[in-house]
Amino acid sequence: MNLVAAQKGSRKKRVSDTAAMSAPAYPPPYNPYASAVPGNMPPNMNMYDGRYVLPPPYTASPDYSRIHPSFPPADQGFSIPSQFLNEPLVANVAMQYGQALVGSGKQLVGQELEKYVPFSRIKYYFAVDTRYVTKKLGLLFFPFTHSDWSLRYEQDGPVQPRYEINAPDLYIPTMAYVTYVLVAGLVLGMQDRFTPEVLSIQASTALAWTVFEIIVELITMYITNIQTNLKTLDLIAYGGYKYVGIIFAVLLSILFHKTGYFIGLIYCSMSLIFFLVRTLKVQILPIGTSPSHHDPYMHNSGNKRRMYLLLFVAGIQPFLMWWLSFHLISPPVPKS
Amino acid sequence: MIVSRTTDASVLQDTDLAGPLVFCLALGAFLLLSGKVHFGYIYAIGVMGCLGIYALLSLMAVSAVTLGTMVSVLGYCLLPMVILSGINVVLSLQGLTGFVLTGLAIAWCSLSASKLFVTALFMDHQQPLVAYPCALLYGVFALITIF
Repeated sequence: MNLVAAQKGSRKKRVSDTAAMSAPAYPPPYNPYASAVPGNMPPNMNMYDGRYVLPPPYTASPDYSRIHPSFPPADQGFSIPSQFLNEPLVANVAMQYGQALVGSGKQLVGQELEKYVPFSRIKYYFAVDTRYVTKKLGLLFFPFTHSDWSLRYEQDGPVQPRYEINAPDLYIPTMAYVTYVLVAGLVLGMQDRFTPEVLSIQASTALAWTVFEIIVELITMYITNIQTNLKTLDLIAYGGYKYVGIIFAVLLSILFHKTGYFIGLIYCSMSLIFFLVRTLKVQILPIGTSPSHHDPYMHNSGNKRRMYLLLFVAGIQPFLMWWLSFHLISPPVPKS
Repeated sequence: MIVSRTTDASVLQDTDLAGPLVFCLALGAFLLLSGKVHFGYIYAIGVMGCLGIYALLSLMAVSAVTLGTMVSVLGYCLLPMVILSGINVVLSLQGLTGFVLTGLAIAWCSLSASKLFVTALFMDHQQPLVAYPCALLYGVFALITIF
């Protein structure tokens, strides 16, 4: 009897203890966004138990205080995570963690991509403004009066094209390439030879020839062991300047057919050769006596090789210009 | 969005893709009325042009470019093209007046698009450089409309 009474008493004490525990902490049960504060853990746990035990959540709160606060048995284990994640506190933490993860993931992807395609280096070549572009285009068509072809350098690299007219850029070559493809489409359309496949054929052919040219130049530089400051992107830039000449010659051919085309081609080839020789002379051939460029190591050797490389780079431009455009000019219409 | 004399960067804070979509569908509808079924071409050129200009602008601009903003601006500036294709239903655009009108429409599209881009991305002295690729893109749309 004593035992039972003691147990009953203890049980009663337990119930009353839970009542004491739960009552003051019992704000209106369903207010998910008000309980994001960690101190409110206990009512959440109670509500969680209440939901698990399945009375509808909007019933009167005294019902909950009679429920023994215990964890659900293990066979209901799989429903725990979703209900647990529905808790507003956990949901907030999870969202923040997820967002932080996305941010660091993006950063990681950017870093990996940077290894293969150096975006920061490419950005340098696009730092141009209108004045630079107009002057450069003028220079491509008439380089004969320009006198100072040297490049200024900053501490870690050449000055941006925006501030230095002699620096190579990638805006003009890219735009010239796209314009070349569109002008080719236009000219072929005027000759009734246009289908949409032709555009892609032109684009990929020109791209393949440019890549081939640059690979040949790189291999030549490697084999002849010439050390220069020229980077691959520089070579891409210089290789792309010929598209400006091609566009000019093809547009002339619209008006003046074959004679116009050849005149335009010859003039643009000459000016491009002059432009390239003058520009690359600064970068490939060593500057003899200026003390800031004096390099006691191998930099001054192989002058003849360097000259040949220079002439090679400049000399293949006319051939490539002709190869990429001669099929676009219209044959003179036979008079019947 | 009608071309205004002064634009400010806050216009681009809320990007919206519904307008551009409506304009593209209107362009397709007008082309349909003039007998050309070119929805696939519009879609393909639109996507490729947007990606190309997105790549170019993200390389040229100092501040970050989002694809959504860009598609929204390019789509809204398609309005003169839609008007041109509407005119094409009624008159034929292959004469001299047609070329002049087309040139005007392309110029209007690309100038307004480049103005919005330059204002939103704080690029200095680069508006003609941005206008040129936009003009190429809208020129391709004009080619579809006319021929």
